[in-house]
Amino acid sequence: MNKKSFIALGLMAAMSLTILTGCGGSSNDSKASTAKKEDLVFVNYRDIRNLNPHLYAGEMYAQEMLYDGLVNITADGYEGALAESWTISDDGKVYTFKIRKGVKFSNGEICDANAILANFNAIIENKARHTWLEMMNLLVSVSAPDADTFVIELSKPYYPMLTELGVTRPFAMIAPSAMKNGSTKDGVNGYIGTGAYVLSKFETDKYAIFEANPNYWGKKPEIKTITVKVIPDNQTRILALEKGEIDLIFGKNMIDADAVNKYADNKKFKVALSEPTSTRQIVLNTNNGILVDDNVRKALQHATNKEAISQGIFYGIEKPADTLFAKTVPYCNIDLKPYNFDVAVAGNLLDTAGWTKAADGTREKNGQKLALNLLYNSDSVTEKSISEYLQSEYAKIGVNLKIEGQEEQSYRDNMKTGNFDMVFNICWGMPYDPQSSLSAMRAPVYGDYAAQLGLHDKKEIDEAITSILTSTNEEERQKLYAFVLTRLHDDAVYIPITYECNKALYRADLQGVGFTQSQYEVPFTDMHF
Amino acid sequence: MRNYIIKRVLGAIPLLICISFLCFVFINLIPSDPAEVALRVSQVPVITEEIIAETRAAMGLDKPYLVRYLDWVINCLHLDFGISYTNPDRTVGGELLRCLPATLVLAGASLVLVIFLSLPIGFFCAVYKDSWFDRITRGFIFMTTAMPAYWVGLLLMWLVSIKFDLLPTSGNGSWKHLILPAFTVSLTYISTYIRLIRNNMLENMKEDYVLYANVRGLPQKSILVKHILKNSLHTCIVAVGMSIPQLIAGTIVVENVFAWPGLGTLCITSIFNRDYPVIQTYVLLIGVLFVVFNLLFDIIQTIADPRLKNEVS
Amino acid sequence: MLKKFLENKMAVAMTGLVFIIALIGLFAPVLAPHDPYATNIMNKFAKFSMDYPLGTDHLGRCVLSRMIYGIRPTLGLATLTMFGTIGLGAFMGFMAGYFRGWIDEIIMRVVDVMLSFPSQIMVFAVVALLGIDVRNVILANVFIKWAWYARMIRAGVLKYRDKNYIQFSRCVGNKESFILLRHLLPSISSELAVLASLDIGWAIINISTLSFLGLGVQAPVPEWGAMLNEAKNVLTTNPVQMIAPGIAIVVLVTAFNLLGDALRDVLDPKEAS
Repeated sequence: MNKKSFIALGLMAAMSLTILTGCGGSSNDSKASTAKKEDLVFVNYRDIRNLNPHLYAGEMYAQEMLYDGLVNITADGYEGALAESWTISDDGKVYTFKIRKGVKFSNGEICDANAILANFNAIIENKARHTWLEMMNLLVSVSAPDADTFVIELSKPYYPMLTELGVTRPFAMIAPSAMKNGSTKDGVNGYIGTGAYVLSKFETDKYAIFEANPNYWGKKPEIKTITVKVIPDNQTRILALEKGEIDLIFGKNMIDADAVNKYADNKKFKVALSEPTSTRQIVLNTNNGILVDDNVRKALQHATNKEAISQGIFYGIEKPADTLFAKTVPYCNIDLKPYNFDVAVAGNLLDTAGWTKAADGTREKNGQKLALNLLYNSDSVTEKSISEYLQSEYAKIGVNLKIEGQEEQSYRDNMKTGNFDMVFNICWGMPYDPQSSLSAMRAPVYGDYAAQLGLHDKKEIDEAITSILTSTNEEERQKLYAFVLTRLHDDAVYIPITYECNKALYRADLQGVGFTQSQYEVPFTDMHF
Repeated sequence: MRNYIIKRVLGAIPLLICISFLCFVFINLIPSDPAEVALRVSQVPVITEEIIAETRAAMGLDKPYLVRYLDWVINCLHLDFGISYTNPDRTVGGELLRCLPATLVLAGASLVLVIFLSLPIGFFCAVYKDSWFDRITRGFIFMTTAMPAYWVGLLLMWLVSIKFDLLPTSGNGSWKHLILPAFTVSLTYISTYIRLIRNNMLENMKEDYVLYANVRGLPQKSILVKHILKNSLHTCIVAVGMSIPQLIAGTIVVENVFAWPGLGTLCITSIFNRDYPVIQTYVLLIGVLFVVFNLLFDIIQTIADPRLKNEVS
Repeated sequence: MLKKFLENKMAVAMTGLVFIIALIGLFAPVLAPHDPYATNIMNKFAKFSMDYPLGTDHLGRCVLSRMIYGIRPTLGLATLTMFGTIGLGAFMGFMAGYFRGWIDEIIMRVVDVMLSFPSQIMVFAVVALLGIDVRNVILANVFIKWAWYARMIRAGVLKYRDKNYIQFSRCVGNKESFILLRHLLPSISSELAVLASLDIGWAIINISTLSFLGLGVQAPVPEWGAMLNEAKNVLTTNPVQMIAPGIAIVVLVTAFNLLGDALRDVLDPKEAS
């Protein structure tokens, strides 16, 4: 055969092969997508991990799907979940719950007050782990006088009690048979709950499949199967959505504003934004030799251009925040003077503090450079951009900011141990704000405790917070809140940036995509095609 | 022959010991106290000095260096590599095992692609030396050595997956997911092998036996395939074999670009999470693989090539 | 040799190109239209214009300025790595090849161990150990590559050490260091030059790969690999971000590769055919 034609033939064969495989691929994809009606493909940036309901080592949306608590938190208050109704004693110390009849765990076991008691005992056994919940410190006893009644007794009245019972964890009920000798702190034998879904199959770091619970006591969801794929990278998630490999991206930090903007007018995809859920904030470590000086902290406040961040990075989707908690958060509608964006004022404050500009533009004092590090969660799609922006903005007033991104686990570890100068603090949002967030400031739960250690009025603030939680008088409570919030604001420990909101990006034929009171919950039960 | 093999195997053992020692030393050089890290990771709420001291004793960190090294080696031989720092309910061995198949698949597919593309192309380049085909190929090789693998991957991803929507972008669901990553990895090695085969064949063409074969009047094709190609294949197979560990290690970047859930992704995640046991075991694994493969293919080459075989026995 | 060098058009052209790029990097403050670190968040992802010839990135910084300033870290770090590698490798190679005996044995065993590790992994291990910092990246690269150079240089030294003119020099009473510097070094240098220019391309790609993965140069330094990392994050919305840095890397590395090849042709005509 002629050598040249041999080559040409070979090349043609290779090309046609590639084209054929490509064509075959796309047609298969479209066939698969039209068949989906009762199953949803969801995505998360990491694996579901450990779904023990009494611990914090798993993904909250998944724990929400598998388990129920005594009550649910709604926009208007509380509605019963496993508890049909409840009464609170006059002194506010005893809560009596009437347990719903006929509720079964997904394995057929009965969920009555005794099962709930077993759960509470397991949770209380691991009390040290739950110090962020003030009610654990106030708990006197739990009991189940009969199969339909469950009683909790506290040492003092505690107004956020039902809220703490209603959050996703740790007060979620697992089948007693799944416990290890009545205990859950060392692990459980299976994820058996009363929730709308059951975990049927999973492969670590790849996917998890949830199927509708046939024994569910509530309204059966229309989506019967939920496959959750693990895609750590933001761009890859968006591409997967484009190609129909996933149906829904949901979360506060799972989509960047550029993507939301891009799909705002798209026919194939819809965007949903929730009401502001929490505050995106940076907390300053007052234990740090430079940041212990409140002039420096206030200077940083004045050097942060929240409007620019809100418009430039979020296209206005997240509004600028001037206070730690938005005015719409209960008890937080107080007047606090915002630290307005004023570079000149910032410069003056630093000058007053003794930091003078050196030749290279960074400020110096006694031979020490004004250098700080900002820690952010590299799994969050927007924190990196904000950090880079702040880096260049703070450089203008002579602050040398070094930014460091770490993945979720190390980021949280470093926050807890106070291993940072500045860090993006985790804001729980509704319904944890403001009581749980403030309560948590008194112990090393997140970065707040470590960051506040250098404040001269830390003890006062902590005592005030404790008083808030046990107060019975509304007026007194409001006064105490005002005191704490004003102090924290004046101490300039937190730099609020924007009010975050939950975001969802999904294919246009998916209906019922909404948001609940908890930003970590994905309301799968309301969705349908 | 046997003596040679035994000598080589024995020679590799001190190397393995050295590598294992380096890996062991590695984890003890980390800035943070392993006992404290272990406690923090298992979410113990309050860490006091006593608890740290207790944990240190429990982990055996107060024993002499050599004893700890031997303990560690014995554990490794039992395939017990410890527990991951970031996910305390997963063992390091488990993590590596979970991610290994994906990397092997990618490395394997890339290897196949490299062989099937570089062999014919190298062959024709040598045969039609300095023709337009040869020149274009050499230019192409040149370009690809200068292109960073991740950039090629990004471009391909954008072009094929996004613009033309032909293939999926990431993950490893089906064989379709494998095409782009495998192609990207192979591109980095194809140039080396095309050049290798081409040069090898060109060298062989100058040998005397080719001249004699031509004088005898054997057909060109027969000379090319039966003699030259076969001889060139020997060196190439060895080169390919020795680079298999390199291939396994080299998928790191492509795995990152295409979100391929293999060892490379695990390694990068571990570095960011400061998950030292995983990093240490990964380095150990690759080091051992390197030594073993080099040894294996060295021996294979000596056995297969009659010239070397005579030299040795 | 200089005449041969000047005759080889490719060598001259590539040296010129590399020189020009280095100069641009050196005079970046003069040539770049904007401050590469100046963010203007309202103007992100701007289109090409007279003011911003290559547009802006996700923080509103001028891409062209960042490219120009990026020559400094990209080329500078690679050059630094090469100096360290060659320096250490040459020193060890000389010691081993010249003095032989147990020094040679020890150094060669160490070289064997170093060479038996895949370089990529070792770099990751060192970075993991020492922390994510560009200095550690350079250290890691030097740590990996010196072994290869040591072996090469040792082979070269072995070739020349017993030549006549070395013996004569020793007879005359010249110091060892004099012999090393004045006789051996020039004989090796031609091979060194070829290797170095080919390897600097490898160093550039290696450092940019690490920066791309987030393990090397940290924000906001405009190293080309780090810029590609940022481009990856906006691949779906703004794919044009990844074109400029990528092409720049390819051009620079190709220039060095061609230079290396041309140098090899100049210095050893036998290899060229």
